[in-house]
Amino acid sequence: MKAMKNDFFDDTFLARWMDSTLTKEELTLFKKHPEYLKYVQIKQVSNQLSFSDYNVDNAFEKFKAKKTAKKKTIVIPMYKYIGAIAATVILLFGIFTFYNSPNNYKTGVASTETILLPDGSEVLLHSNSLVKVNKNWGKDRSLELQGQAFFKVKKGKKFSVHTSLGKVQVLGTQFSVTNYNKDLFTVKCFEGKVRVTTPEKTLILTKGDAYQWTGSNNITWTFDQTAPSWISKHLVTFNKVPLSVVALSLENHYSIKIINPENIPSSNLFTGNYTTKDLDTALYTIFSTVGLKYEFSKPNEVRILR
Amino acid sequence: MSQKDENSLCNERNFEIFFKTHAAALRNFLIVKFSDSELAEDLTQEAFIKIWNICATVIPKTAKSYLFTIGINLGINKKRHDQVVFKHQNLIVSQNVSITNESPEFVLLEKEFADKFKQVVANLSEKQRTVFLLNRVEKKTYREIAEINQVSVKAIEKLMHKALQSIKKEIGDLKF
Repeated sequence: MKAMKNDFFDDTFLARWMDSTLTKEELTLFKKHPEYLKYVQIKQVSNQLSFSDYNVDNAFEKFKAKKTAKKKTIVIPMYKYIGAIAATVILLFGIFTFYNSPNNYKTGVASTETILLPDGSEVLLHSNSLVKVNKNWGKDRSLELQGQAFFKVKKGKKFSVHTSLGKVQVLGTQFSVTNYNKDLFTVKCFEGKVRVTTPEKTLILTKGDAYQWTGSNNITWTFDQTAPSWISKHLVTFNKVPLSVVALSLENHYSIKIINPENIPSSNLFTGNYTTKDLDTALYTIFSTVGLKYEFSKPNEVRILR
Repeated sequence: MSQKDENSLCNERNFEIFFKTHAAALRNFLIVKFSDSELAEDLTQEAFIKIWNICATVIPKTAKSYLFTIGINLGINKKRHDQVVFKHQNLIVSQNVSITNESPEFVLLEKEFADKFKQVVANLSEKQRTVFLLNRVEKKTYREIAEINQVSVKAIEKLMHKALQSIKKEIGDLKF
């Protein structure tokens, strides 16, 4: 007789559990199953699965080299700043774009947006973040950021990102900036060079360098990635960040409220990540590391249980 | 500029956005389908080139599904063998959660688990693996997977259920 523990109510049960479409009764029953935790582990690791990195920019360059030019119209080279004519055309395009589009960009809950700036630079805006772009982009490439974004800056004039805790200036590179109120300021440089200026210090980061201020500490470290994990793998990553700030970021992304945050041990520094695709798994990831149990007091409210 | 010209994929800027928006998803989908990341990347390039060459006749709304169809057909034409072993090197498990004072043994166990996990996934049957990867890595819903493969949602759910049972069985008692 087959062991009871391998039988489920039907042959789509686990699939529906993964998808969070089980009924309340089914879920309660499943949680009592002796193998339940094993399946949770599998779910968690599967959230961290991804394919090997694919550099889309390189692929595009490859594509451009391959395609044959069949069009008779003149193509404007956005990526070469070779002369006055090119620069003038680009500036005209810049004015045209601003005339037609807002200079404030805001993302909603759990969504990421790509903003193409007039000079061809790109901003990938993470959820619940805000960017205010300078109206006169041709003269001064500067913008304000609240939240988290990844920048791909085309070569050109100085490009500045201003946040409440510091500013980042670059000359053609790829980097990410995270700023949560006064609690966290993180800059990671993926390509080229950036200069970070805070009230206390100024430093230069090159590819693979990161700088972070967490309200009490400055730290720098090196890392090995080609793009932020929240873009390529739907994970938000932290390095030695107070657990309370990680919880803040989670509240922000999923638009939930933790009603008793004082129960989060403030001395624990968190190094790791949570998924941006599944609230239950994300909560489990964060709180299980310190053995905290929690419950939903309302659909959007979490209470930590002692 | 007329409305029609603004959206056309023959416009270099529009095409670039189209490329950068879908290239990674197409490449990953082709890895799932054809088990080979190098082949997938080549197929991705070829598919985009085909779309570029006929850009004037492509309707922006249906361009994405057209792109994927082309990619799949190119792959089917290229593949000489029916059964290809899925290379588990195609998969990566990103860094796990840890607190600052973890022991070296703990880190080792994590890596062991991750490696074993990747191997187990690679060893799933082709159908189970396809459903599992499309859902967990590419974040496709069961409905979307059903549509792509022209089967019922229930059939997909059954495959996912079986895949999870297989994984749990193979992973065995390895803890992490």
